Amino acid sequence: MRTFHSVALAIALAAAFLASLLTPWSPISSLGESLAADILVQLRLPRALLALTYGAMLGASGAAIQALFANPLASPDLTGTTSGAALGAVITAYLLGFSAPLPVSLGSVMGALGALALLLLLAGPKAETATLLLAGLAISALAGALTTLALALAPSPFAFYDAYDWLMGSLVDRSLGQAAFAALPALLCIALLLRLRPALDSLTLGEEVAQAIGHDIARVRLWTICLTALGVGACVAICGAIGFIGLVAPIFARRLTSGHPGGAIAPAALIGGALLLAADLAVRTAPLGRTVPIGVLTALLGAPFFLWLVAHMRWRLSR
Amino acid sequence: MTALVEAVGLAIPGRLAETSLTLQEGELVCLVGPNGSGKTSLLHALAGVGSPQGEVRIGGENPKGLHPDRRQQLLTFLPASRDIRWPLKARDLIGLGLPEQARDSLLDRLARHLDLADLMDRRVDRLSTGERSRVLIARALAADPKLLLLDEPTANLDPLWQLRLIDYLQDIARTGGRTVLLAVHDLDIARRCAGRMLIMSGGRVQADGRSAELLAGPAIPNIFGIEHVGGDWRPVA
Repeated sequence: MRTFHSVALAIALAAAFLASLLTPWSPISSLGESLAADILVQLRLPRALLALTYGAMLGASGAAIQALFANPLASPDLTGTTSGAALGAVITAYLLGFSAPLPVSLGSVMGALGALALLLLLAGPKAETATLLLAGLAISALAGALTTLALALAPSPFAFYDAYDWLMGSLVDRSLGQAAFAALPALLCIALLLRLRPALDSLTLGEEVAQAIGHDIARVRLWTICLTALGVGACVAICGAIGFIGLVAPIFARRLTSGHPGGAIAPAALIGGALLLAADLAVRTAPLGRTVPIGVLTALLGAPFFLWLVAHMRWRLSR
Repeated sequence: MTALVEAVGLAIPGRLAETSLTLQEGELVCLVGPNGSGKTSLLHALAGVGSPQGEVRIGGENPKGLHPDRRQQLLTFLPASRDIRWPLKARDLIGLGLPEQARDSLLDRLARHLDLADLMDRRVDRLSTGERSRVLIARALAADPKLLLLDEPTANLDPLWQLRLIDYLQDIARTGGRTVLLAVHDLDIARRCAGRMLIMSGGRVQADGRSAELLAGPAIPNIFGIEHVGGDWRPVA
């Protein structure tokens, strides 16, 4: 990635973060200083931090999963990771309530790990696109059905409403503590994923070549899966499932990195963070009378993009 | 000649019986054998693919645990599969994981020799298998290592490219002091390589000698079931 691109991305990200903090401007300018500070620190900072780190985590893990499966269509939501995490979180939340962030996070991470392990088992490490997507679809469907079952068996209407609200994906009303609970594991996981860059790059040349170059591929696979499950799981536990950022961000990122799949992890994280900040801003400022859940917006925009991608690939293949 | 590669007790359970092997500096060695005889397994074991047993030393150095940059100066491996599904330009694929110092002069020479100029800016997943082979061969040779382990490098190549590749490999062995071990199916290519030849069967090296002698000897009819009669290969009657 050229310096120009890195600087431009960093500026875009910083601008989106600032815009998220300062929009809308009127309560900050009109209220007293201490109230304005409270709004900034207690309400808007956690939200902006969550959008930034969750988006970055989705971008980075999307790039890493795509490199691992040598498949540009893999992503945490299409491989069932996000739905597995959501299922794990809902089940734990029923048992212990959504206000216990540690157990819900752990449940969510275990759900994500389970989904990715099942995917590796079903599709194998070098899955064809069709196999990968089918296996991911099956896992998503299974996790989705089990989540619906869990909703149907909700211990009380309040538990049902809490879980349903959370499932749609939202960054609203999270405390700084909750934000830290998602952001710290996510940032750690992104940093550790970045260390796998050369090994993930070399996987493009095939597993045999990657091993001959000197990378321990079994270890790289295990690390990638555990790190994406941990990071995505921690974010899902706090904000619910948010789709398509993990698919879209790496695709844009690779345009900046000569298409190298491992090298795309860092820019994909920056782009993912900027995209989710922008989506959150759009949700907040849209004149709809009430707030649309951010997960709904990313899905509304992401699904057509995915369809376009599939059509584009088919068209390319048929040429 | 001095020994470059010393492999002791190499084995992959179920695929390669315990094998010890010495390869000299500057020699080009052909590895032949029927399908499933263990050619690829021997290359894997030497390249450290799939946790083989035994020990390999290249120029006295054990490649195990070395940094990828250093390791690529010792050995390279070209797998038989030419399947690259990632949408990358040929130029970027060749640069993947390549040590910085390897990139310039040798790449130019390889690009000229393998006539890659027109392919460099095209996506590898859209090249023909033969074109992609040339790109992957360039990637395998680009770090200029001491030991080259090549699995069927001539497969999918036109006859002209096969001859040019063998000439190139002979040249870097003879004048560059590199050691090349290549698995080939085509016994005529093995004949053209001259030099040393290993014949494998049932997961072990059955014969090791000069190719002219081995090709004329009893090993070929015994192992392959073919013989050289009147300038052509025929099934043993």
